[in-house]
Amino acid sequence: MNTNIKDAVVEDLKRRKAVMRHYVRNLSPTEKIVHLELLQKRTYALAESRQNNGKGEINQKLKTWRKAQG
Amino acid sequence: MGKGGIEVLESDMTQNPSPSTNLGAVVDVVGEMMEHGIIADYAIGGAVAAILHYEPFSTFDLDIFFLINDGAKSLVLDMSEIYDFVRTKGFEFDHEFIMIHGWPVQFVEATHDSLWVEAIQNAEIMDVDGRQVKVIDAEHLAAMWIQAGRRKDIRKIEMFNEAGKMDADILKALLTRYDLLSNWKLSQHNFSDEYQY
Repeated sequence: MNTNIKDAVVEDLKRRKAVMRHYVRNLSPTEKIVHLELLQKRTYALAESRQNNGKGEINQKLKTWRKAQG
Repeated sequence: MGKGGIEVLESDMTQNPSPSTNLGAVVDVVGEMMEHGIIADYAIGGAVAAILHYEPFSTFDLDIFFLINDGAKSLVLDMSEIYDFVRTKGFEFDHEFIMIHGWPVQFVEATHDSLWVEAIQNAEIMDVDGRQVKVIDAEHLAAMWIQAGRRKDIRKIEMFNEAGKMDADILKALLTRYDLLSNWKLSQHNFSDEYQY
């Protein structure tokens, strides 16, 4: 990849990350918890997928969280 | 239905609607514990408190710091009251965690530590899911994290530093009062100029 294009892509990713972080920092407490609980579900799904593909076992914290889901 | 009945119904709906988050449901259970006199006071601490002050990041359990009604009671007796209560609610246990509405919850008895007691008594009230939830404030969290001194705790202080969440004067007074200034100085190279004590 051309160096200029690569730098532009990195800068764009940085800008998007900053925009996203600004957005989540300014959410209400309830909205932050909604995001957190969604993040937990997505993280577990990702870890489960990795485990099913033989790429590492789900860690204990996630297993405990899964147990709490009933 | 008379006007009075409607008023009561509307009041019930606005005061305690069904929670839209699991955390809201957990807070309802903690509120019941207080109503039953099992705990005297509480505040959310740890990573979830950090998230409520800052931004969502990955964490999977919830720390509830609590005070007991009778300081003379033994901790074992007090924890057994909590366990008995949650058992009647049908919640399960896993090591130090109680599984409440999708959250592994760790109840941390705070009476023995004066910093933790003050953290609960001075906790911020936040509206979470229509509930008035007590959350340990940023300066007390930072003092508790420097007390623990683990790398992940220092990282959370760095996050608060970056976000300008801590009042430098309040924090310094707190660290001085609880004899934590020397602990802070060991890690302060991680923080910005205003936190160099």
